Amino acid sequence: MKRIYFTTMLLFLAISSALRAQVEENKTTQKGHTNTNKFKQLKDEFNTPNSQHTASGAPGANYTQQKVDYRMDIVLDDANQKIYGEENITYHNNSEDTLEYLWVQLDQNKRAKDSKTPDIEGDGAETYYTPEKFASHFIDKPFEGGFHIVHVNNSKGNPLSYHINRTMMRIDLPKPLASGKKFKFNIKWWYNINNHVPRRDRSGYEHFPTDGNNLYVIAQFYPRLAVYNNVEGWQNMQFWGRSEFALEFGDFKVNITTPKDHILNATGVLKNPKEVLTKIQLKRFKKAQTSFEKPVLIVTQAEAELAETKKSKEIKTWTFDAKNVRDFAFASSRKFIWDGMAVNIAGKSVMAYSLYPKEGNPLWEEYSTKVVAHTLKEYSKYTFNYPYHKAISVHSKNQGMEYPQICWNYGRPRPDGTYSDRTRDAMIGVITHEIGHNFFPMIVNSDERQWTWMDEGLNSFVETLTELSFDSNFETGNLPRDIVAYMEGDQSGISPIMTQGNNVHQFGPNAYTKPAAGLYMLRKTILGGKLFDHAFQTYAKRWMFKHPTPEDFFRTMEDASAVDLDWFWRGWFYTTDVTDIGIKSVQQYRVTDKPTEKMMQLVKPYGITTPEQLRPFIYLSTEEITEGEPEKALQVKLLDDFIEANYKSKEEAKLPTYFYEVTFDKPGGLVMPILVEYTYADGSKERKKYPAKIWRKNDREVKKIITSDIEIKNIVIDPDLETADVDTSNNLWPKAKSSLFDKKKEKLLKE
Amino acid sequence: MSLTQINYSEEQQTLQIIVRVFIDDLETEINTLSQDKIELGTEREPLNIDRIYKSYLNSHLHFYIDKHPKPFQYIGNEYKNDQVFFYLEVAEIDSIQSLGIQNTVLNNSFQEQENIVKTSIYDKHKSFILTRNNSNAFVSTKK
Ligand SMILES: [Zn+2]
Repeated sequence: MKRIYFTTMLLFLAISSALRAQVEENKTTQKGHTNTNKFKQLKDEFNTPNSQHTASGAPGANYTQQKVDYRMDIVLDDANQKIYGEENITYHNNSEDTLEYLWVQLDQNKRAKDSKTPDIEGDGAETYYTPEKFASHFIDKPFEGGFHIVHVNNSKGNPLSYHINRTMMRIDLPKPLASGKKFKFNIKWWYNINNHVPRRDRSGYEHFPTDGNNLYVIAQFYPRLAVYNNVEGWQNMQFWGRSEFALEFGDFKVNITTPKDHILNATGVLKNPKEVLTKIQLKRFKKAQTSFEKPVLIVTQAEAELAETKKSKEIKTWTFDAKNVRDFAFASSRKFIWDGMAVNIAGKSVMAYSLYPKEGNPLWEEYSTKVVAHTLKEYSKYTFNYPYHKAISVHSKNQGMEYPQICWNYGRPRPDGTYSDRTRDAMIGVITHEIGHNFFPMIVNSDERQWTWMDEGLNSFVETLTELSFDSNFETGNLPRDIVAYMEGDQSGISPIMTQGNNVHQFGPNAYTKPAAGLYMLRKTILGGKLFDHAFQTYAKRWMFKHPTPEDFFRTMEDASAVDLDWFWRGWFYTTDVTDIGIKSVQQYRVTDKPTEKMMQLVKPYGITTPEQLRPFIYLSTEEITEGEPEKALQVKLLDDFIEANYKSKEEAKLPTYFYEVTFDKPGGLVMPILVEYTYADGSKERKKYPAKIWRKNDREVKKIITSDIEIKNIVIDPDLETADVDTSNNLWPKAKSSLFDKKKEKLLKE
Repeated sequence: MSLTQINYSEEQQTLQIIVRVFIDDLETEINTLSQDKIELGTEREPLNIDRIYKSYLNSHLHFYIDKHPKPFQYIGNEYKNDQVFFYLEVAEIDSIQSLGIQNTVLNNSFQEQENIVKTSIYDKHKSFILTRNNSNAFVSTKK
């Protein structure tokens, strides 16, 4: 006891005197700093929790949400590509606040002649122009798009005062709307439907010159109430074309009148199938509802091809009833083939449907509905049981766009009906993604206008798991290794994920891939499937049919997993830092009783100059072995005696043969777990994971002593590329002799 | 978007270049200007694809070492997922004072094309984002 006390004191003295020497040389008063630790909690970045959005990440006791119900009569004028509508809106003020006006979104005004959307994009002369492009730039009058508001009336038919500010319309309430009250009003409107193909719009029509027909995918087509919520008040940020939507839930009753030979599907339950389908189609429609194995054709290709040539002048009306949806969209064409099958979601039967023209075949009849069914099942596993009665995938050129229960997807074979693997996989990918959007944001209803990543990132993440379960070799493009090219890029072209969507550089990697890859990493590498899945599911269930914020997600993931993840959110979501962990050096040690040079230096100030003056110690030494020194650890008498006295046998005291000190350095700004694979001389391998917290006291460098019975041949960091390490050239010990380039060159020259 | 990584190997005295491009983008680009429409990375890819790639890259990528233009050797390409990787090499470079790069890859078809160029020479790393308006990069690489 005493002797130990003495030596510790001695060491302490030696160290503190060394420190004193340093302080005396350095006379300038040092500057302090604030807490910049990467593990600092996100108290400054997060909104203060309250009784609406709680500290646990759940909706609180005073959480409120508005409700908006719509009754609409819509007419699709196929001959002139116009759409007419009249809507009766009931606005329920469930908030605690009194409202003086309502904000309505007029998204079509993005295409109005006076739209400012083109004005915020820089442009210059092109190198060359196709005649179409030249005409659209310099000859043609701008498209007469945008809403024509015929009237805005109260429920008695008297005009209401309103003001249009581009894509937003303010309706002045005749008297303030108190908490708990509702307000009914009526809007009548029409607009010219755009051809969505040239400018890749989210909705519109595609014209097929060979048969003269149009295929309509119609969305953002009626004046829609803006969100009024507990964190933003009115979400009335303009629609510029990129950052998508924020919408309230409500009930819809919609009548849509189309040419008699159109096939149409929409959000909601089709209330009058008998009136709009032929007898035989109705029979197949019912048969599909009991077909769990494979899709049933409800409208065949032959029927669609016949309709293409007839172009009926008669009309019919489709009636839909949708409960608790945030939006309404529909697709209509006489070109549509329609198939469907039933999916068993936890004992409830849900319909998977596809609508496609003959141009989509044979790819679409083969894959689309099956992918819809698979997506609904997989997403239900990771979130909640899909609560709606159907999900529809609609074939539409260049589109990948989502609405409640219905979405538009690309994937068109060549004119001769053949298709490449790339076309097929891209189509499977986009259908999985857009059907997946039913969960995020159609049900877990985050604010897309503010935070693109909350729906795109979370959705791309579950999409990735879904694609991998569809085909374990599927190239999802959303894994941590897939985001490296973006993250290692020039910082001027990168924004933190926590950036409003319109202002983001490289939108796809920023709002889709990076959050998806981050969550994949969190699930696979940091939390593990069990903890992660429970927490992620908790978030999805808590915020079903509600409006979550980023903090609600971050907080719930911690609340439900009991793991502090602030360091991860901070690094991955709030900064543009990168992962780069390397092996700086590896030092091998042997065990000896001969004091090392370092030790002798340490004790010199105390008059100890020879080993004999020093009490015996055990040393890990890198110095060359000298005569008389023990060759093996057990030849160190001090150690041998200790083992003899304290262990049953020498075998019980398993003494390692090899001692290494590995220095890991971290040129990257992100903290991450260190994943290491040690390969031994006999070829055996061992993996070790050091938690990210290893960096909490030193953000640059950490050392670890590794012991083994067999010599270590090599060490690899992150062998499975799980952490998006941007520079893997420092991940190897010993360093690789030939570069990736050399290896590829050798291979390519051989071919 | 394209990504070009340029490393100088002192040992082999070569400039090793890897260019990554999305296949769909390159297909659009190559087909905008030519009469014949071709497919890339499918079973219908033309047999002389290496010649097409070589001549495309020759007219859209230029390297200047110590201010003199230097041709590169096209070693080959590799498809990986939805991207194509090109391997190029500029041989017999015993030292570099400066490297100039002109990169106009995909600039014909994509107005907002960003070509990222990263260089690693004598352990010094630089990175550039080249656009239509600014398609040149210059690195001084004195030791
Ligand atoms: Zn999406």
